[in-house]
Amino acid sequence: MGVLRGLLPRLTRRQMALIGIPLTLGGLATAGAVAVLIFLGASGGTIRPAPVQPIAYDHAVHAGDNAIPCEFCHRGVSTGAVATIPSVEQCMYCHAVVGQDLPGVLRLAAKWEAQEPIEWTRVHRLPDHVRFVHVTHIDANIPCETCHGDVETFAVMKQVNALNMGECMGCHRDTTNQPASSASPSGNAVLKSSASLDCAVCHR
Amino acid sequence: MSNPHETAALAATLEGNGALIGEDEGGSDGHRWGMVVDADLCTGCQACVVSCYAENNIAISEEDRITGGRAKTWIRIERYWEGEFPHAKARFVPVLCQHCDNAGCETVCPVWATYHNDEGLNVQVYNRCVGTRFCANGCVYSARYFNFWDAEWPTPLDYQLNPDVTVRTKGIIEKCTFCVQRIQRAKTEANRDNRELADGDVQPACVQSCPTSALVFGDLHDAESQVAQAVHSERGFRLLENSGFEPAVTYLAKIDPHAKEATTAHE
Amino acid sequence: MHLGRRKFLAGVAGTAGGVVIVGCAAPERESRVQSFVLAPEHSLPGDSVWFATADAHSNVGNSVVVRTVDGRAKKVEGNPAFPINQGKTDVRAQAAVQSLYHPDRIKTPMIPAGKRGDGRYEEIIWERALDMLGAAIGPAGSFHLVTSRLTGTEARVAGAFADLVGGDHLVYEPIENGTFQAAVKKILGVDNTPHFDIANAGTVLSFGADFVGTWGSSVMYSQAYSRMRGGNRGRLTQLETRMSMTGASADNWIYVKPGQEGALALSIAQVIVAEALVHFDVWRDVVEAIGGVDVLNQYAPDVVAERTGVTVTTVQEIAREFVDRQPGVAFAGGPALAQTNGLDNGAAVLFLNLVVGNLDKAGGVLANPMAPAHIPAPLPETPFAGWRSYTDDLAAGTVPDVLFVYDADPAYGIPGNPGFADAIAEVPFVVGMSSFMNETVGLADLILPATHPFEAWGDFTADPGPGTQVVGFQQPVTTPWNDARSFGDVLLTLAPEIKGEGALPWASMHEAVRAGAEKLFGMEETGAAFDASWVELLRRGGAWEQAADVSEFAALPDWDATALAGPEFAGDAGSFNFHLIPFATIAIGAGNESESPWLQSVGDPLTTVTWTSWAELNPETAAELGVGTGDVVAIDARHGTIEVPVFVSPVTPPDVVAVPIGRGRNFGGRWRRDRGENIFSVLDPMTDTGTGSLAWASTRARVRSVDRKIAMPTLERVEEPRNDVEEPVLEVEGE
Repeated sequence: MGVLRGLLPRLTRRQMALIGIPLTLGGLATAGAVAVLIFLGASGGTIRPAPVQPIAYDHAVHAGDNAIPCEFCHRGVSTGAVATIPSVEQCMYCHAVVGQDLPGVLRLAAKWEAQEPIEWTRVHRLPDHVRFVHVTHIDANIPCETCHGDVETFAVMKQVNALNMGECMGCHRDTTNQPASSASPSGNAVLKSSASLDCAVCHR
Repeated sequence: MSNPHETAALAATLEGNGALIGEDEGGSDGHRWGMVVDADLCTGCQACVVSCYAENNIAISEEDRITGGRAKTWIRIERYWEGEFPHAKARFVPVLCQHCDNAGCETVCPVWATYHNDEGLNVQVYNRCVGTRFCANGCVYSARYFNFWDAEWPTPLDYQLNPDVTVRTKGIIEKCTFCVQRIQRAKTEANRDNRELADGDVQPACVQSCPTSALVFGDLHDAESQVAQAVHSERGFRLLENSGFEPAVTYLAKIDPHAKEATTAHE
Repeated sequence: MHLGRRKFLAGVAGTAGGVVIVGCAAPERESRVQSFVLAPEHSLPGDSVWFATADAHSNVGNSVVVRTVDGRAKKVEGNPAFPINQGKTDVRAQAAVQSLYHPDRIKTPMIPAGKRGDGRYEEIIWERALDMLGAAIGPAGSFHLVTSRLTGTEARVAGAFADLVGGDHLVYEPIENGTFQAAVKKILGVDNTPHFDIANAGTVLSFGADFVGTWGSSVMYSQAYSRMRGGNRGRLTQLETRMSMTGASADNWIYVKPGQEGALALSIAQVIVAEALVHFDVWRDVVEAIGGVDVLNQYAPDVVAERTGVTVTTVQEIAREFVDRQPGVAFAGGPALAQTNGLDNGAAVLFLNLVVGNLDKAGGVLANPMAPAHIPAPLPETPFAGWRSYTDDLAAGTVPDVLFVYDADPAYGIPGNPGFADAIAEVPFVVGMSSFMNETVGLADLILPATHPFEAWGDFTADPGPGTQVVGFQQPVTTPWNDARSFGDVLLTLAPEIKGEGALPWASMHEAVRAGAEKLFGMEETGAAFDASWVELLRRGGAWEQAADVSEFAALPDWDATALAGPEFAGDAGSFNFHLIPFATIAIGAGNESESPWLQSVGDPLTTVTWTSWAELNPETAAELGVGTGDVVAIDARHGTIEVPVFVSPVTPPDVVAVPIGRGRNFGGRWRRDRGENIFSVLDPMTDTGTGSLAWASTRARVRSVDRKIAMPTLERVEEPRNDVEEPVLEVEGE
């Protein structure tokens, strides 16, 4: 500062405060904003409000009242990476005969009639640099509600966990060296006992 | 908003890294991925290069990027001349990330975006990378590529992108991953089918396409595997071996019936 | 506008907020997820589904499996069960997905918006295009169909359509195969490509054939090469005028003067006979058949050493090694056959196989079965001489009423004057069908978008086969993202409109290909019983167990060695002091695949040059001309001049300037257009005297500096050597 002093015009204390305080505050605010952005970017997001869907699909009725297993509709969950959203055709397997006069089912039937896909709004979304594989977790006996909450009570599907890396890591550490039970819900092989902490498992 | 697991998780990762330095055995699966490149079989055909482009969503190297020295090819085929016409020869060497056990890139990263995992992979975590490019300077094989630009794939070219591989943004380093997405896929499938990974279950894109089978990939810990057998060939050497980076890629020397003597510098 | 402080601050805040929102939120489309309407039978969203189909860019018959996710093709791998490529692929097969999703593909039918060929087009719908076609072809007095070397059912449909409307079908291919096939006919007496058993050979003598790169069934040969190198490690001797990729992998690389390959081959034969390296019984009859020992003696190494540029000792060594390390195989390709004496060069080289008696032997030359008549091998091309006179006729006013060009680009590749582009000016109606615009399609009155092979039905018989009959099937692995249609389907739609229902026996390519497969198994009449087999065939990608009789080699060659003449060159040696040797590169071949930026950015193996054309010059020659790598030179030939940058290469002979084929195009998308120069434009229209094929390596040229330098797009960087002498990067061992 001593060197700079000679180069800068002489300022009164008041002038310095007038310039310095806003500059400092501005700098702090910028740094804070950057930090928040980095945090948001790194943490994989927050819990977002439940979106409005084109058809008011009610998980409480399907998974709760009628006790339809998750896998009945989300068929990819025990074979691959993606749990998958059921096709319109699959909804119509039941709704060709069940609840035909309900408003939601009428909308569904209209889509089926027109042979158009339904454009749902995503509830759970991971950032692009994460590759989550459902089948591995199902085979390790992780219940769906660990991440997705008590879906059978949700009239409107919503996100209950932030699904950020801290949550993943927490679980992965907890299950390290815990033996898995011999029965896996998908009927597939029993996964080895520990979850990996290797970055490359999810970040590829 | 902060997650109580976060700091602990980071510490656990660090511990893991610390324990691995200088350790050859280890890892829950006990895999040790490695590659053998037979220089006697490489014909320079470039199939591996484009196979890698397609598998790994590698940005197009436009002409000005190449003249500017910023071509991006995770695997490239270097050509070395020997002699003058009419006795001139050309030799081909495919060069990719060597997944060094004692890597120059790993120690210099200030944010642990690159590290060695317990299966011998030199992993680049894109979402951690802040683009200091220290690692690229630390790599004697020039196997690390910095993204000076965001990649562009005018629609519908983006339909081709591999959904298993992250599309990298500008400002970060990327490099050969030994097709880690294929390793993970093979493991998931093996687990699902209740079996152990067999030799040949994992083939990186370059290995799978190579028309002369000059590239061999596999688990060095599996003594029966093709790669574990090949790695002990008396023709084996490693690129810039004296640099001491302990690469996981072994090269087999080109055989030349007319070579007066082996031009090895190390024996 | 006056900006008050308060307003300014509000603006800043708004902008900052905007930045935060843009920075954090995922793109809108990524928060949408569509459910399928129908559940696909064997796939779930996000899962990979693999389909076997034909290698889009191969004309020799490789089968691939394509990974698709949610209906999009992602990655090409070799079909592991297929006997030709055995799970492997070449660089162009890998880039097929990029050509499929290329943003500059022709998307809809188009007609010129102004004058034909001025580059402005108007999009129309298919119904109108088909009406135009029907109206033009129906009453046409003459109809000419020009295609590439079509194969299988597509070839048969094209031929049947041309016959139906009383037209002619011409086949165009810039790098012709006819000379090779004619040489095979003369020496071996068969009409298909034999199987050169490289895998089991002790010695391979390749005269200019870049068999691990751009010649023949290169993926099959590459694997054979790999097996040859295992075990006892067979030797490869490459004799050529410009070092090819294969030459770079050879144990012996021998420079032979252009057009002297035949003389050199007979010289090797002479040594074998004169030194009695092989038993008299083996060679007596075949040598007698080509003119006797006296004729061979005219090619004694000391007599022809000057002509061939190969020393007596070298010839003797090659001959002795070839005999010592039997079984062995000899073949010729590339520039060796692209000479005025190409046919006789090819015959002389193939004759070496007879001298050592290695026909029908493992490690030698094996016969292949002919392709089944209804799934033909790639059609033979119309020889260049035919194309030259056809072009002259067109220019002179003898024009067809309708010229339909599919997947061929004669306007780019036919050297000589007048050019094909000028010649078709008088044709009343030109139809161009292709996936990409090219020099010919750009001049059409009606432009039709063709499907990529991954979107269409087809089949092929591998040529050459591995000694057995191998048939492959091509099925659509994805639906077209644009408004493209398959060529076969367009013809099959037109046929009934022009000639009434039942004009051709099939309604679609799918039906035609399936009918062909049924016939292959003698199940034409079984109908539904074939359904299961058909699915299984498609799943495997082909059929290769069916028995087929191989062609029989002739007992004696039908060739007179006295017919072998010296090569003739275009341009006198005094003023045109270089041999201009064009060559196909592994990535873009003759230029048909150059639309792909992957293939453009892949380095040529020997020079590592990307994206542009170059001229390879010997270091001493370059020094005499005062040029280095990156300096632009003009290459003057009798028929024109092109300017390309120099690449100084220590493997280039001093009297050769080598320039790659395939660049210098005015059409075909952002990554193909205006890159490098078209070497065909300066070639002399010389032909092989035996077959009329283009003698593309017989042009002479002179080279001069034009005092201009460009930044050379090479992947290699030339730096001052570090301590590489102490520590060579690549190690080499003796045997």
